[in-house]
Amino acid sequence: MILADVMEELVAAVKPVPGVRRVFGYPPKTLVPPAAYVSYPEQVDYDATYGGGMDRMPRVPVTAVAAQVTDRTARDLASAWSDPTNPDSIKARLEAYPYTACDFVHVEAVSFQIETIADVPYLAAVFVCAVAGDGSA
Amino acid sequence: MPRVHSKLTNVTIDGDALTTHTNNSQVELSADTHDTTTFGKGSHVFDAGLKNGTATLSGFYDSTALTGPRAILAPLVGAPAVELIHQPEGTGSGKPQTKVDVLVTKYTETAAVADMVMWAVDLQFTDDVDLTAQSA
Repeated sequence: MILADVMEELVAAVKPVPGVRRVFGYPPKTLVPPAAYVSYPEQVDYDATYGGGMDRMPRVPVTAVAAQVTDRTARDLASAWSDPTNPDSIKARLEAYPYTACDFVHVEAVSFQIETIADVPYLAAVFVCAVAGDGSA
Repeated sequence: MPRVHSKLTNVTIDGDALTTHTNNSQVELSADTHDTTTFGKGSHVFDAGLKNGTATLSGFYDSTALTGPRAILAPLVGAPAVELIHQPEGTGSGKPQTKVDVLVTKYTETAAVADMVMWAVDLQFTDDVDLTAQSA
């Protein structure tokens, strides 16, 4: 798996999600919510099988910044994005995308955090993805 | 180099490569023993008997229709013996190799909700094991 290719495909997976205005394939200097970005995995685990057959990225964060944390819109967006029964949720879109840079993406969890942009607190939904795909073989 | 990392291990069965689907393998060589203790001895005495062996392989399931582990191994359960080649240090002239005909006695697929689908296979050796090192 090539890290940049995986991150770009995660962008492509999230782009069609309603309410996400723009998606970045890296942590941007700033953004205008509602927007999302793909961050770097904690680590890449090499050689999960013999002969470099499989590598794993156990925790790749995809962050979607909704709205100011005190706005009702923030709650409504976070709810829609994290709803596993919604085919247009971020979880569903990330897992359904036809990846070529990896074998699969599994969204293991979502956490809700405060992200401060220009001194304004925004609600951010951080989706933690487990990614597996070809290694060096 | 006294120690070897397992990532270099190579495995084929019936001519099909399982290497990139496998993350664990165990080859076990054994032999019968015959108790030949006679009167006057203070401890048991044994003689070696017939040799035997088994192997187990396991790894991550792959859905590829023709070359995935299910496609390769499931049809071999209960089938006539096929050749297993196990190269613990990878391929290369002079490197160790275990070559033996095996019967596939069990193929298992495991799907735990919090993990990837896994496979495992049990192999019974039949006839002699060839431990000759790999040639050039």
